[in-house]
Amino acid sequence: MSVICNKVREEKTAQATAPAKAYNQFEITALVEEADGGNFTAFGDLYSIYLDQIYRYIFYQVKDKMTAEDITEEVFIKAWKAIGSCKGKEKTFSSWLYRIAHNHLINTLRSMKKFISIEKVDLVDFADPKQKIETNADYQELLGKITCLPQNQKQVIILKFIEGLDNREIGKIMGKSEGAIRVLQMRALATLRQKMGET
Amino acid sequence: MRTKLTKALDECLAMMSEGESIDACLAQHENDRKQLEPLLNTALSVFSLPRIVPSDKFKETAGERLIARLHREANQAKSVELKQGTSLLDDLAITMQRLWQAVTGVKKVVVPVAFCLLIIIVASFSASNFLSPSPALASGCTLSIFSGSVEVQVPEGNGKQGADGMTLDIGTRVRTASDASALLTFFDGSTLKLEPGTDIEIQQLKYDEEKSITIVLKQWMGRTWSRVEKMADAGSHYEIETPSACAVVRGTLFTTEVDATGATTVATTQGLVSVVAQGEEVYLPADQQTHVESGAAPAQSFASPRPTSEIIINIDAPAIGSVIDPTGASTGLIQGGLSINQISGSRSLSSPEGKQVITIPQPQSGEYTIALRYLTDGVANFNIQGMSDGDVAFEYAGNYEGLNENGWLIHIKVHVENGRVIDSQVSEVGPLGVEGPEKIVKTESVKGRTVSVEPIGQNGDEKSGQDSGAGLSQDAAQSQGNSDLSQGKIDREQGNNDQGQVNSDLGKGIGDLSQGQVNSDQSQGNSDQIQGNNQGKGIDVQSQGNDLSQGKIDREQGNNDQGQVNNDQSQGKSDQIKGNDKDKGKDISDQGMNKELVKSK
Repeated sequence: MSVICNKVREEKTAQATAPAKAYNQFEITALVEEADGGNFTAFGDLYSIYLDQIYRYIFYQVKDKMTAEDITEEVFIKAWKAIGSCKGKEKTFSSWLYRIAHNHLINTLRSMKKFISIEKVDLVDFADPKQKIETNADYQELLGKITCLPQNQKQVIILKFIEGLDNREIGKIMGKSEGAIRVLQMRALATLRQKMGET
Repeated sequence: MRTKLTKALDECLAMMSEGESIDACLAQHENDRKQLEPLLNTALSVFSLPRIVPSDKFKETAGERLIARLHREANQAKSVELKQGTSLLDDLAITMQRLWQAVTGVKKVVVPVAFCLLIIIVASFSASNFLSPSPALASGCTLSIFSGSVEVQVPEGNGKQGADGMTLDIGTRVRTASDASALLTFFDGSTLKLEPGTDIEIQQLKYDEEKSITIVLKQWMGRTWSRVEKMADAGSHYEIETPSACAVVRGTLFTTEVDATGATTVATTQGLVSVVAQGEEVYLPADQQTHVESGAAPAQSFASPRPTSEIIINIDAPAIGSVIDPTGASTGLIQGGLSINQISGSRSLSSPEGKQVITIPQPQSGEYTIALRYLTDGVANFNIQGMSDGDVAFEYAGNYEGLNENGWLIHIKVHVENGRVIDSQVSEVGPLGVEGPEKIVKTESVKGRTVSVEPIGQNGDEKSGQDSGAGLSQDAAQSQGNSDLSQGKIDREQGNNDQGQVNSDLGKGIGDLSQGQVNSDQSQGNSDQIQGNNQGKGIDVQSQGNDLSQGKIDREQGNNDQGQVNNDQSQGKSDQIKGNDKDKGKDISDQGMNKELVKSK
């Protein structure tokens, strides 16, 4: 499998994943406060900023484009309805949103009767031609292995290695200490290593 | 020790994120190299995963849906506030509470009384849909009859023979005879195919001022194949009720089957379906199904069995294609890259680079027609495979040349026994006329909606299709008629009884295709007939291995040409193309297309 380091990957995908406009933390905090006051435009901006991340977070767990789209939409609707509960935590809106995404995802997967444990690896549907280079067998295999990880290990792998979050942020999302996240990431890598060695 | 290792790993990962190599990281943790190295290699592999982003279409439509919903909920809240003087959030809470009451109220009626299976497809769920219904602006459902007898019973009326193109209203019940199949096309472009022996009722069809779509059907018996448009509005709502329990479905392609006892089986082909019965809910992703006995909860989902046989068609750019099955139902892409899916269990997928794959599970005996359409001038490779129990039962391949907006029709007779493809034969190859062989309905224009229309190459999966006119060319609009199932007989506007001139000229034509097993009748090769619709333009037929290989089409113009057949002496065979077109029209064979089709197995 060809691999590239995180920095290179980030450069490679920066253009595809960057929001149309870059927002700093103060601006995001302001948007959250405005959205909390009923400002749709502000919430629409938050949607634009975080759509890719939330979609990706969900996609890597369900491996299905349409399912990921459906769940992503509902996550933002839930976020809008609950944005009042984010009051005072505006600075951690990102973590708060991930938690909503995670809880909704877990509820959905639970009601799906754990369908994602099925070993079948569907071809990933790349809507964007920019992503077609990634559709190779190794990628499919790795994605399948990640999907089969225990839920908390899968979560830390996605947040850490795909979303690029640090341990502190991951800890906030998962409700764990940074030390616990360090242990979890090691277990996740070890499990993944073992699964990759099985084939 | 373990804590030390986890810290070392974390430090290495941080270094790698900054661009350091694994070796550089390990150099600082030599004592732990053995344990760290495999973990870091694994981490590096994960780092290399692409950062998937949602499609542009999804970003756009989902954003619109979200904002529309926020506005609607706010308006709803305002009106409640005026009445009750409560806060916005309280209003939202009340709205949601009412919504819940509305939903549970429905369940209370439906579940105990009829043990109904309620299949609901909801692009997004909206309180306003229940609380403030607006008058319908547009609603309609058109009946298309593929075959056999279809009975239509209007409310308070007796059943009568259904007619192709008939518009059906709320309360109408439609029953297909045991040899009949039909299609309902709704105003938003969604379709419901009724297999033989199916009985359904249209309960609600509504499109309101807020662009919410409501379609509610009841399926009493039989088997249906639903292709539901992704609804652009959050408040849109699509339901099918069937007698046995309660189900919620999210998805675009799924089958619903109700037997005589009312037991229901729901199987998803694409998207996400949720089935609810007796208060229990089961989600069905693609390729999963569940079964619901009357009065029972849905069984846990399980993988849909793989078909024992299937037809797989691969088509490369610049062509797109559709398949018409022996009943007249079609799946694939048509003019303008629009998508249709009327064949139960079928899929049509396209890659960004323009490769299309159509899969038809469990084919039946009869003639399948493949329509190739060219988006631009060029040569398109295609491959048609019949699979039985994982083995290739037949395979045809070709690379035909075509010009923009023209194409080819390839007719293949397939023989199926006990669910297995036994034999096949190409019965006809000819140019595609202005009117395609697909039976489709032009849906009514729905105000402000832009669903359905999505050109090929923009999205990787099933295109939304059959829609409301936006983006359709004139030809496409014309082709979406109600009743003309051309079956390869092409009406034209010009041209006069021309007979095709045929030259069996080995060596001409584009592409050399693999040779293989050829059907016995073709392998003898004498006097194979190709009913071509060729009008005055010479066609060079390439007799490769005596099958239906055609060479390039000459560009001879003119009317009243007599078909001239030159046998290929080197092969000693005389393929014959019969120009069977008697009428007028722009001749597609006059476009310099080359075609050649070889059966390789």
